[in-house]
Amino acid sequence: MANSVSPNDFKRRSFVAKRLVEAGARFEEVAGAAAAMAFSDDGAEEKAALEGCGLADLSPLPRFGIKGRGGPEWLAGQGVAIPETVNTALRQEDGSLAARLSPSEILVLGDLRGGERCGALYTSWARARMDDPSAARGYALRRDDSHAWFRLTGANAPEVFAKLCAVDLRPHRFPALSVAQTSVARSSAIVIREDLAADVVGYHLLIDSASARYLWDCLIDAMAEFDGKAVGLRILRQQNAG
Amino acid sequence: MKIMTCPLNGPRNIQEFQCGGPVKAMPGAQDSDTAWADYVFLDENPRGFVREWWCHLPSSYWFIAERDTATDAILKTYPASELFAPEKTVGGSQ
Repeated sequence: MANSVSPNDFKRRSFVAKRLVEAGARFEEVAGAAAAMAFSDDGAEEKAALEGCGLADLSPLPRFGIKGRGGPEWLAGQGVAIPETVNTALRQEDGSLAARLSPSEILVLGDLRGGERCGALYTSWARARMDDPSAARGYALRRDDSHAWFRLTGANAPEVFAKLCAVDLRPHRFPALSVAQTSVARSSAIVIREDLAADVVGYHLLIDSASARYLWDCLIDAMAEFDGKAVGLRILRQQNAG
Repeated sequence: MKIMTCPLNGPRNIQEFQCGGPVKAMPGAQDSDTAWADYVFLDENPRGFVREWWCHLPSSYWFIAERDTATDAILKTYPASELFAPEKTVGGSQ
């Protein structure tokens, strides 16, 4: 099946767009960029995402961060449910996720549909700063540019992490909605466990966008012994809906 | 692998950390160039107990670590807020 859109049709491209094209991804427009929706129709992706190990690129999806004195309080005022404990995350009603990285830093990952929440938060923050520059509301961090966003899912995902990361991310040691800020394949990374479907462990992985292609290759290599495959956003949306 | 305990993130490999040098009192604006040069460029490098700034790089979290330079043992790590008042950004209390 031919692609109806390609990453080059948009001003914003995923940091690993070249790798996705090479792997035969089929793209659709999500939030003003081409997102890899699927790689095949033979069911291998579903199997990988559930039983083996699937790696998805969520970099086209919106995300937003805020850091500094008053930042979390300002976000709470915008209707974001803020986790009380550092290094934990909270699922929001609209499907987005708020992770507390420090007492004064919050990361918001947008929902899988590419909704407007993160963009609206940034617009509100910028407008509030223009209206009253002196108020303490932290400073906004455009995480869409600074961080690539991958998702590793499937029964063998913890085993893959065990090869690349010193923190024990096995499900019984790293509960759902835990956050680890650590080193993955020697790159600084944020790992957030969020299971989209019951009994299927999954992790969001955010890393420096400049290292995205390096880490994508590392993960594909590490997954090979577990029959790991690149998977598309379509499978994750199905998991989330189920 | 040497392990350091980050007050925010817990035990981590020492490779995830960067030392930021000893905690010391910053000179005032009226102090001499010599005092400032001493503060910026020179460290005591003692044998034994030191109190230092360390950063956990993946989370960019700065904290205080107490070490013994003779044994290279990490004695204690704690948030900088335990050493400095929250609104106070300069000065030392060694």
